[in-house]
Amino acid sequence: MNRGRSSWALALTMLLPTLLLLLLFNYLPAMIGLYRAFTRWETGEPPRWTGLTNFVMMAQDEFLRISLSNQLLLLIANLVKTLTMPLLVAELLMSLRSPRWQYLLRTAFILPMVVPGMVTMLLWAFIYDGSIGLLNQILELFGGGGLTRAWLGESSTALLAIVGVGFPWAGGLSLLIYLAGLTSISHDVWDSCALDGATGWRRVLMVDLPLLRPQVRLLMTLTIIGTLQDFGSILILTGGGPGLATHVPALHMYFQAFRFGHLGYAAAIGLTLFVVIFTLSVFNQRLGRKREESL
Amino acid sequence: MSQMSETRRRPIPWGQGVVLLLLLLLLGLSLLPLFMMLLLSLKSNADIFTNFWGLPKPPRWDFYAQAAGALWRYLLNTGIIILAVVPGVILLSSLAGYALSRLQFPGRDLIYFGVIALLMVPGILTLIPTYALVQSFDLINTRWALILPYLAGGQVLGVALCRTFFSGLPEELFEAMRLDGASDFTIYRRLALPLSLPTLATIAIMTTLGVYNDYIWPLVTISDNAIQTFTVGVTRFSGEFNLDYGPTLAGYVIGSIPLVMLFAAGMRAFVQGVTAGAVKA
Repeated sequence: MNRGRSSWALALTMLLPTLLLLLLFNYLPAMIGLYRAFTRWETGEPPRWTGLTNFVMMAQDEFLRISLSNQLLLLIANLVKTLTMPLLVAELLMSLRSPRWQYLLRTAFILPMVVPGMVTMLLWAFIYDGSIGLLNQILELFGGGGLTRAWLGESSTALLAIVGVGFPWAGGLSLLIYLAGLTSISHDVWDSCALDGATGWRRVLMVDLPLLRPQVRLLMTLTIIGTLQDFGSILILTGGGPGLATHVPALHMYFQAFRFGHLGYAAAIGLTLFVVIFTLSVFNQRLGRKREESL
Repeated sequence: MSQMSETRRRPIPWGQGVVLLLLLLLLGLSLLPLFMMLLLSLKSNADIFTNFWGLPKPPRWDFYAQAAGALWRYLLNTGIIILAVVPGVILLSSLAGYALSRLQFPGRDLIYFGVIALLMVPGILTLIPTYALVQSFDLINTRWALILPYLAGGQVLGVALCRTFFSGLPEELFEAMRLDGASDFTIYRRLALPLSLPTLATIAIMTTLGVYNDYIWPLVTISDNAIQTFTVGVTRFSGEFNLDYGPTLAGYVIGSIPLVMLFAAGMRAFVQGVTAGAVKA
């Protein structure tokens, strides 16, 4: 058939703009980032190969060490948030008898997703505001006026306040993914559970959770990737402060590059974060899969 | 479904009333910030400080005019970027998706792998090099600094979704058009594109969301306020109101409206696309 040749030309025409853009703005930067992590590269100067110097500097960087422990706490907190509240709400929604209430409440729970992320962050900054913030107002309403403070402005509460963002952490993508998972569990499974006497919370633990493993695995991977990469919200809420109370590695990278001009050092932090994210994701996927196979 | 199995489906042993009450409580907590944003956006500072929870007296609708006056340029700038990026992403990723699914040529799978492998490359790795690259093209502080990387980045998911969708279409449809003498480009335009409207709508929504919500990239590449986007602008505009909370919160509401409208419109297009009957076409 002569279609093969003409297909090549046609395919190339159809693919060319996409491939050019991806090579230029995705592959090339990734390669540059990989290489320049091993260079001394300051703003306005040509990069100079220095081998592992940047990584040795990272090991001795006090700021990075402190930011690492903050990051660990945030990661654990985000994993716990993703694995509890949305799942609880999904199970509660599934046990509603009225389809109309079910639909109405599901829609209402995912409504906050429509609000732009930046507006949500600024709203939370307002909730934690020291003078007239919503949290302080609620505390005063319930007689806890002595507790009021600028929640993001004190080093003893700032990190906890960041963990609290999004309370009660019930809606969003995680809820949708759990609901999709629960809906796909066959009714036969639940019927036979009822016959075997596995009802209520026991069924949730013994039957639903194991069957939801693919969803849990996906959400854990997304949370790991999202938490380790996201420094925009911390930049908005606290700028990493007060002091270093909410500093995280990705924010450290941003400051090194765009405030101090140490581009090479920042690229090294970026590369390290990429390796960590990649390793954790693969590990999480593998581990989940192995457990599923052993079932 | 029988009433019996209906009952067995419910995992939680409490009565319906308790379940409903718990859900409504959690929902109330989730929506409280949004509700307070709407309520307080209509109050002057004096009103907020003396009467935090009560209804605004009087409601200050003029705050919305003030906020719109301070924000419209940022919203327009975001709109310009979206109008430049979204049609481009849809066109290019549907063309590439078609080539990678319905055309036979050597290296096809390798190229597709090369595209989706980018899903594994996080923004954190490429942020600084991309900045240096855009700087070397002399594009810093121009709209191109936003448009070109968004156009490239949006295609990774776009190509993946388009290729998956086009691969799933029955070969008979394509064969019938080829027998009628249609060229591949005609088949793409007349058959593949119309059928993939729901997929394209999904790509459009996700690309719009990505551009609208992006903060760090415009923050580092754009310093000229005249072309700055909403996400960065909204963090700065409250300085114009002498620390008044009302107009600031009104600005947050205004900034949320485009996405609410997008979801309302996008859902309809999505449902239409599905119900228009892909198989009948």
